[in-house]
Amino acid sequence: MLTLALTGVWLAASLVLAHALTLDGLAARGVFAGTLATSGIVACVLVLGATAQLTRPALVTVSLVSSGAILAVALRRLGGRVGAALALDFAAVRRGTRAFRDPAVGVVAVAAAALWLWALAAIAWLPPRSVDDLSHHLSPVFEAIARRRFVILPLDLKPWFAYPLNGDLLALWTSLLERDIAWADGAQAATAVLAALAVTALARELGASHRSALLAAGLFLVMPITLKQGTSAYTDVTAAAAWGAAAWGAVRWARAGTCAALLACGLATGLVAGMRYHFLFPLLAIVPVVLLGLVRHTRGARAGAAHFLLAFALPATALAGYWYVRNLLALGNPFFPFRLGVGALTLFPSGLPLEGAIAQSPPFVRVLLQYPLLGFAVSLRDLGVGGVDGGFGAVFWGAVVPIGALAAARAAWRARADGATPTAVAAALFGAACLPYVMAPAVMFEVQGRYLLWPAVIGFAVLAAALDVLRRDAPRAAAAATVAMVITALVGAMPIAAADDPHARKQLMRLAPVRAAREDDVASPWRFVTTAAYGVGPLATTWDLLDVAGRVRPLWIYATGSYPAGFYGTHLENRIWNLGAPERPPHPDALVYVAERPGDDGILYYGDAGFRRDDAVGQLDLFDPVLVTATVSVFFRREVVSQDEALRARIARWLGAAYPDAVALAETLAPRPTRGTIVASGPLALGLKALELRGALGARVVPAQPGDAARLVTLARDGGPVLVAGRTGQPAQPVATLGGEFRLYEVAP
Amino acid sequence: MTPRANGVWSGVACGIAAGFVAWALLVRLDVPFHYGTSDAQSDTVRLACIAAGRLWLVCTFVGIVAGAALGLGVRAGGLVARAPIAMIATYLFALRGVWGYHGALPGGGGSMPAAAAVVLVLLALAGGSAIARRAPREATVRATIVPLHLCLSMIALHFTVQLPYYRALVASFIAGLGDLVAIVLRTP
Repeated sequence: MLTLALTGVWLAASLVLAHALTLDGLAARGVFAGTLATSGIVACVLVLGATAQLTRPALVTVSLVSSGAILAVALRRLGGRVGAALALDFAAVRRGTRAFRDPAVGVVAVAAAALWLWALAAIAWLPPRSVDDLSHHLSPVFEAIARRRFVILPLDLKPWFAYPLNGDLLALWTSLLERDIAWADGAQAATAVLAALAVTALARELGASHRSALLAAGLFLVMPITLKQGTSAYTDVTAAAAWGAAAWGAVRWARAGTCAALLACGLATGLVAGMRYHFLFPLLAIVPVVLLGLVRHTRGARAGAAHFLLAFALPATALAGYWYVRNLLALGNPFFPFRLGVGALTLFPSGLPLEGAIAQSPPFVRVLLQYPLLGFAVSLRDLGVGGVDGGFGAVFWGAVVPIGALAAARAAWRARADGATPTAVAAALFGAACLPYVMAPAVMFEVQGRYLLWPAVIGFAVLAAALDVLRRDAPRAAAAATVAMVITALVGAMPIAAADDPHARKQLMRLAPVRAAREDDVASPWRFVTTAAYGVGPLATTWDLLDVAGRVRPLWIYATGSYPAGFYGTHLENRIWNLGAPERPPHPDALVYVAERPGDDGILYYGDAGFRRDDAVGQLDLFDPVLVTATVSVFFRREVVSQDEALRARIARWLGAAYPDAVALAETLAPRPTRGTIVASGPLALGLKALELRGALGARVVPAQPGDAARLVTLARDGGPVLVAGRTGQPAQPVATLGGEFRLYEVAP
Repeated sequence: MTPRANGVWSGVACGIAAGFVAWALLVRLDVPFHYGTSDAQSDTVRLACIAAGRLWLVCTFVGIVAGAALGLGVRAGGLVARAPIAMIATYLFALRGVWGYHGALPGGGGSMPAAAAVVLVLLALAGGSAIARRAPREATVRATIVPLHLCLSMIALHFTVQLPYYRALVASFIAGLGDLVAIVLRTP
């Protein structure tokens, strides 16, 4: 609620300022307000994170003061025209809603509302679950909240930890204000609205009617990638929205010389430049358009320079500069981990392994020029459909891409005759927007299809204008084409339900487990994502346990594996010990080992590698194995568990809820050993552990992976008799029974 | 625009549509065009996409050339203007994708039942005549009609090969919507 309230204040202040700056058009004011609000939020977080003051009260204060100042300036400038401004907006909304009477617009709007309700439900109930969210988008965000400042996490784990974070700061905004990660993957849903506004405003700028502009925006919103990525903590929708705002601002400024548009363009450019390095390529195309506006609308070099610096360059640099300066000072390369140079001349060397596939790979465009038919392998397959990497649908591939390409070709062909018309500028920006994808390393072409969201924003606007031309030329054909596009787009939204795909990175949207779940205190939202892709699913149980335990006693966790973000807990109660925070205790409270790759013990260590799994298994006196499965081992420090009764009870309840059959089986143990150690594997071991933690079993239970059992038996001998669980029918005499199938046998001394 | 140019533009537009029909009837749909729910290998998918795309290029090119040649000889103004409008209905042949491969290896399906083909033809004829009948009786073919057909053909091309995937997702989609409704209504 606090997030909504503060974001609302930002939006209201920005909207009033749009009126004060006499910006025409509701969509245009919306883009301006959305861009200014996003920039303001990012700037507040940026300043506090860079100065190590990133706390909730500080963020609320700085945000209220900044947005309040903007509101005060806007109201003063607006004078007594506030009522007139409101009336203007209401009238524009009424005019806009008339467009919804058009059947195509109405159908798409209803479908978009239903599909986005689904998306919002997924955001609200499911935790962040995409691969990159949990590996490198949210990890620096959560660590920044924990340490109250930005931190570059271990680059040996992910070189991308040095990336600029402007897009991720929106996830930080929600997570810090709510002290809950539930809405961390909701920021992009909000920026999807900004992207749709940018489509509408740009389409209007190109002369499209209300209904065509709204139809195009609706079609953008029901693209599978917008829907699926809008529920993730990736940053491509946000980047595309900011790019759309920058493009709109540039086109409007070049056409009409509107200063507010130039300011929006500068802010949006700064937002984008602070998100990804390769987004700088298309941004270079914005600069000539801004300069064109300066030539057209300012008098004299001094006035032009003042406009350029104050409304464009300054806001852009203020929003993006920090990340580049930080990387230059901390890592010696502002573009870390990428090389910056021309030919043999290297200004900043690469931080990537030079023999790695990415460093060796040519840009995708070179491969595409060599094998043009490969384009069909991108478009016909609808690369990444159903996941966060793609799924643009037939309307994008069949209409937006060719119309955008035709417009670009036409603009180039008629450049001398027509000059830089808004359509020609938009077409040129459409071409520039394709650069991040075609310049990406060819080996990454399957997962970087999402960069095409950039041309999509502009392409849909161009499509809207083209549709109006067709309506004038051939109304029946236009109607038929509209029906075809709407049906295709709506059927094409089906991949929102896609989940089972062994290859692509699907964003889980299944709400069935949520529907079936009951609210209690022994489960967290992680339990709903056990079927998530790319090795995230098996970790859901582990994170669930750590989350539940962390609510009783915040844990310092020695974490391993590719996904640090899952360890912080849904309320950010836990910390990662091996990331080396200065205030960490001498020993971690819990050790978590995730076997996820071949070689050694299959575990990816990072940060301080002081507690290898092999060592932990050998220290039964210090660590107590609590959750041990085929791929994950969770050990708690014995001291922590033994001294905290509430924690013991909570873990026992969690084991009972997560493994009810195993606990039911363990309950049948008779007679119950009062001393010694039981070494067991599989779910039965977890059931017995629940009994021990509950105080219903005197013996200590040591869950073990089968490969560790013999070693643990040897180590446990110091603690009295050692018992092992096994099936019935073994030659030894059992000391206890467990249901009809299992027995406990004492190991001979 | 001269009558001859009119005829050529009209022929090109009709040729693109006819090319799509030929493609839709010729393309192999018993192969995977997407990973979807299948465990098809990356190369298999890539080659299938390239083969289908190449066939579409060939069909469209032949359609354009043949259409332009035929259009040269046609002088009836009304027919020239309305034929490309009527031909829009031929993109209904994208529905052949309903019978495409959707994940069960080795590839089954791909062929459309004869009855469905007949229904599709009848639908295209009825739809085409309905669109054209209400179209303005102009003698001039607008320049937008060729890009329109190109776009519709490309939309239909992509829709055809993705339809099997969409079809495979229908059950999950409906179940997902059901869960959403249940949650929103707070029913157990």
